[in-house]
Amino acid sequence: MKRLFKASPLLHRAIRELIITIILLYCVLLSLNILLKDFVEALFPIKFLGWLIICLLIVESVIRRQNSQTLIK
Amino acid sequence: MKKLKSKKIIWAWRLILLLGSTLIVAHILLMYYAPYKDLVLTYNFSAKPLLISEFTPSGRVLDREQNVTNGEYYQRLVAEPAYFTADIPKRYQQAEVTFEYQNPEQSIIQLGINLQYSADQFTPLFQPLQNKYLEESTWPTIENEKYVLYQKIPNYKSVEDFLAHPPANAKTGTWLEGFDVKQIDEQYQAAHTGIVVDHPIRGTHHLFTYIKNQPLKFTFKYYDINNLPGEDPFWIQLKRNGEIIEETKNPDDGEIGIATKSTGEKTIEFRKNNLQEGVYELDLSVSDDIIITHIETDQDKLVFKDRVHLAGTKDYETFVPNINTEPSTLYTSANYITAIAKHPVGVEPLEMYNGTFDIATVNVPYTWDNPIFEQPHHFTAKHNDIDVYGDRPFSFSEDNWFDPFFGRYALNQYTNVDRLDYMITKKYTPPGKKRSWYTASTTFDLTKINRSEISQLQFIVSAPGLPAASQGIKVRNLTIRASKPSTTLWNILPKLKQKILQ
Repeated sequence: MKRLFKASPLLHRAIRELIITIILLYCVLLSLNILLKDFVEALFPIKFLGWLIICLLIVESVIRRQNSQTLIK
Repeated sequence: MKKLKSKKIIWAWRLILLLGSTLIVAHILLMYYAPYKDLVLTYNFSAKPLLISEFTPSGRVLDREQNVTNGEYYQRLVAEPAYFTADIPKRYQQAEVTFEYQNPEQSIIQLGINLQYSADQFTPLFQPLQNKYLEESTWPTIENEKYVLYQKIPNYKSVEDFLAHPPANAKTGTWLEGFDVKQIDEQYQAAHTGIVVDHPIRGTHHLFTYIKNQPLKFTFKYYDINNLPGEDPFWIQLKRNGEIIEETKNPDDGEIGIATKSTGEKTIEFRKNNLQEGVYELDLSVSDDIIITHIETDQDKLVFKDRVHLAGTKDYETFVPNINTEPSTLYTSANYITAIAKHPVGVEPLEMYNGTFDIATVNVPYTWDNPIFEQPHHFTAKHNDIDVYGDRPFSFSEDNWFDPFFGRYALNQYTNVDRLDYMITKKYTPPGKKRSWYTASTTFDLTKINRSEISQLQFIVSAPGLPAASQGIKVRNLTIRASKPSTTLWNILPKLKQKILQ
């Protein structure tokens, strides 16, 4: 795990931006789903986005910890 | 230098994210609004489809299969009816549904759409997919704008004439239309003996009776066994030629949970005076929580349309004290009987006039076919507890039986066309055929569907009389092309105005 997410501020930032984008997309799709009467849900796996956000948050926290440990060293 | 490179990477990444999100939202909006083209949904059974559901329920439909030789996927329908749904926004006004399928055995296949979106009721409008009887018929035909009349002997000169003066003693096969006509039985004389049915039946049933110079009077005694969640009102509709004349409703007993106990015997009476002579239909719309234990009427004729769910079994004794468990004999001229045992006690052979009809497992439909077309027969269910379906009415006594349709019955797999005199159907174009695969299309007017704001359409694939042990119907492709008037500035502006004003 540690080797996989080697301390990298750039990767950390990229993942953070990805999470923000997916959260925004998730909100937009949820609103659209209400507006378009469940049409989005049938076409696009919205629930999958929710799980993806959770996974990315875990990855982000691992990288954050790696980064902070590198800084201490 | 390194910082500048990182900044560039971050900006490129942001651009990718923005473009990706925009593309996803744009794709959804384009699919929904489809401003320049029709919405086309295709399901080729190779993977789980988007916007179209798989066929259901399992049991009537097998799992997806793959042909090992050519890699094609398909799904097989082995019992009817089967269902699927499609998510098509409300703004689309027409849907053309195309099936690609193999059909080695089944004579009739039709596709229906649910007109009334409701969780507990399916109101289908059927359209033709295939009718091999009509394709193979050599009878002379006449037609008008809506219907085609096939005549073994050309007695009628127009379809209108046939509908206005239907033959008195002829057998007519109908397809996709009921062709109700206010026909009367010239020979009928009321005997005023009345009828009592004490054999318990469960759930929705459709009854027919004949009225001549007498009031219609029915009394139903029933129990609400509260075995399923939800309300269980007892709703009766009196109809003639499909039109509702009067209705009445007994409310639920107040227990809407799964209490697994009844709140005692209930009674509902239905009476209507001054009815014209003719056939009347009583629709008993109730849930499977209702067990009707007693039917009493002043009428002399009483038949059940096409289904009787016999429920006189010890399994219900805890709900219905002293339930009548005496064997039930049903009289009919059905060309096929499909029976489903609802509990182990219902798994028993039925003695038919040509041999034994085995019902071997619970909740599996078994079909018996009548070797002689429309031959009247009867059978006895010693332990009841079977759900019986057929293509002709049933009665509990030979004397009560009558033909409420005057010989006009829907064509099905078991129809012997040689024994018919006429066939009357909606206009029909036979499917195309390439090798063993048929391609059939039918179009639905979506504006007729009451689905409020819900985008889901519910379809029903029906193959009347599809034998329980058949090869079934193998579907390899399903395409739905939904269309609407094209979106232009001129028609979008009034709509926007209307939306804003709302």
